[in-house]
Amino acid sequence: MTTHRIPILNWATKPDVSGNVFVEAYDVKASNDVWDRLVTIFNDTSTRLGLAGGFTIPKNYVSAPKIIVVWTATATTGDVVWDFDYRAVGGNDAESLDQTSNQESVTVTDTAPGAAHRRLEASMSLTAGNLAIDDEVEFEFFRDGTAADTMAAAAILFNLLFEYSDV
Amino acid sequence: MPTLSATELTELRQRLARTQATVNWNKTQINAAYQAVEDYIEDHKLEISAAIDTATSPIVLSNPIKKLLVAYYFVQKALRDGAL
Repeated sequence: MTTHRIPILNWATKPDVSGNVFVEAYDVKASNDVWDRLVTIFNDTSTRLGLAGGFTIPKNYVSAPKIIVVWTATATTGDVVWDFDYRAVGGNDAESLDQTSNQESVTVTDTAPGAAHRRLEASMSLTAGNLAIDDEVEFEFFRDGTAADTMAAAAILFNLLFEYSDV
Repeated sequence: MPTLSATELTELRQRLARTQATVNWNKTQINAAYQAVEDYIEDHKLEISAAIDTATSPIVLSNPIKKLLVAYYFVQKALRDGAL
């Protein structure tokens, strides 16, 4: 049994129109201007901020699907609420890619790092039976800035991963 | 006593957090801090206005000018060395 992780941020990734989710070079928020790769910023607001995207379920997918959020912040206190809404669409000329609702919505609340810029990992389990090999998964990934989200700084998203088992 | 709106608090939190390498407060704490400043200024704005009128007599600055004057003063004061 092998557990796999694949990145799901790609050419199809698009921030919402709020202006509070955007791509930025990491050295804007980092203290040491060494690693200036791109990250996605989810600003501190009191609203739900989204990043839309899509990916394909791999040929060796069998079970235990999860979404892994790799993130950090300059804050050292407070919680962030991450949501993942998705719909998996499969087949050839069988299902619509333009459906009106999500198939499942999952959430996780994670706490700010003990020291600024430490790597954090949060996971959300998906319903295994919702997914099948070659399905196109349409998703929206949110920072939900309403009541339970208490972190008073931007959340810095480094990666969004699909984890699964091949057994 | 006017209450700062969610949008106003969001802007204030973002402005402050962007200036810091590390943020060691949460939303509830910093929202309360901003509201405390709002409450104090509202309680004393007539005194500030009267003090400006005394200083500029015989001319009287308009209220919008007085607001800008005080705002620019606080921005500069925050950037000066030393305690608040």
